[in-house]
Amino acid sequence: MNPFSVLDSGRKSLSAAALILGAVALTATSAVASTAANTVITNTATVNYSDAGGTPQLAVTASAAVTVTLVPSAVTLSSPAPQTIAQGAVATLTYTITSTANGPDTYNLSSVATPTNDSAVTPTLPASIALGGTTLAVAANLGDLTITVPYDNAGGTAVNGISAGSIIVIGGNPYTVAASGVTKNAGANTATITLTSAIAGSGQVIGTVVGERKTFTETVPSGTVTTGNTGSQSVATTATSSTAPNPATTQSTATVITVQRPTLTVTKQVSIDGGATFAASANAPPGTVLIYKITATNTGASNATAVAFTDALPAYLTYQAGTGKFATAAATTYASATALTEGSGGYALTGSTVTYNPGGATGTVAGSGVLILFFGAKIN
Amino acid sequence: MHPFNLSISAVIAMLAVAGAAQAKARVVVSIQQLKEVAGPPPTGKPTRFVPVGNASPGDVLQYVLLYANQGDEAATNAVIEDPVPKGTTFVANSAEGEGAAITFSNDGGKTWAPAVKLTYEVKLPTGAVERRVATPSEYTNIRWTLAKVPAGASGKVSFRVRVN
Repeated sequence: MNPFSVLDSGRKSLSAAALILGAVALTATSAVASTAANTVITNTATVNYSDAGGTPQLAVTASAAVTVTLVPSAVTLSSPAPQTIAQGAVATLTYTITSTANGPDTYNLSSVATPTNDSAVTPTLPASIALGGTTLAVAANLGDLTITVPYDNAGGTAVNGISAGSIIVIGGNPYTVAASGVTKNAGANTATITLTSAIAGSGQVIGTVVGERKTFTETVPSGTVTTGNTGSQSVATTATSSTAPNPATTQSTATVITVQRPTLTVTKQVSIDGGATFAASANAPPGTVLIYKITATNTGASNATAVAFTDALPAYLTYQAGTGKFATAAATTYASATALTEGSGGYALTGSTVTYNPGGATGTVAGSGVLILFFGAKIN
Repeated sequence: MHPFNLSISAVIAMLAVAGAAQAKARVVVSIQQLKEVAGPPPTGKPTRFVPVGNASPGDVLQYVLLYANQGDEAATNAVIEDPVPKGTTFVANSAEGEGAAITFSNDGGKTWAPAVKLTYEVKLPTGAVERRVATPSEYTNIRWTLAKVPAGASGKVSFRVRVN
């Protein structure tokens, strides 16, 4: 008679238990029950009759089919945790997006980063993402390893966009579709989806949405901090169904990306006692070898990289070969600092200009860190 | 035949009666599949029914079964039976059919009764058995019985369902 044999398991049976459940389910599901998109509902009427003499004649039938359409629904979209990045770096946000629709749909993605004390930036994210969706044709019981959904009236190994390896969410719990995936039974107008883990939490009634879940990543540049050491970008990402009336979801909590930048301060001191004590100024006679101490301090929070010193010796001073040293701790004395050799390790004397550009780890000064350069010069 | 376009996925199946050469009674049937939609504001009509091939959950569908006796003798005891399509729920009081006795089943067609008499038994946790009146949403089958369809006569019966 009717080839469609799902969605009424509670009705056909006269068993007392089934009817009690059916009655409860019917009242409970009238608000949430939903038939999956692409389900074909066929109605077949049969006429039995007899001729005027009372002899039964062959029955005649007629049928009509209606295809269930997608009811677009706003997705569930996660709100990634706040992050802190250095200026010049790129934040990567990972979103989880879950369909709540009765069929497959494509969701357009957009994102806005609102800067605070930072320059404007443009997030990069996929233009759209496709999510499968269907509904339960048969109630799912606790412990079930398979679920039954309506046949989607199509070939292939996916039912309404759900296939092996898909993550699907039923009643708030995520499940993975097993490698054996989807088995279609067009005759019964159903498809069976095998899961890698059993239905947990509680059983789910007929019509419960089976929504696919995916993740996508979005990258947000740091921008440039306007003043001070930190700025931020407040990121709000929106997923909009491509099907009218285009329901949309924006992440409930904006993701704040704190951008830190390094801030270098420099001090220069001089010693007239061979590096034992340093002061901002001193008096000394000609012939004295002065030891200069140049301290670069990163008062910011993020790394300052490629820190480089340039110091042009003033007139009346002569650089003293072999006096160059460096240190990466503020307390290091000249005596215990690490010796530098002109022409190597980024240390050089060009004319009367001292340069030190060590690069690498030495040239990277962490937040609150220092890099100190010492060198000697004699008063002519 | 009728003003509606049936080029939708409606299928009309007609079985020729064996030995139709001296065709006595020959009944044919077809289905119109309509959807309830809100009428445009100027018409003043809140809803109207239009032929469809697609529907969304929550939509109300009306099935109109058109029958005719194309033979040259009367058909007797014609029984039109239609299961409520799976995936839909019968809309209360929507079954119509002029001159037809309408009965319903809530058990897939095993037992039939007029609407008000359709009951079923439920075993309570106490072990007692209670008889309850089936609500229209539990109807599984609808049957229209026509005692006689004269030669050349035609008519229609209908019912509505809501897509789950």
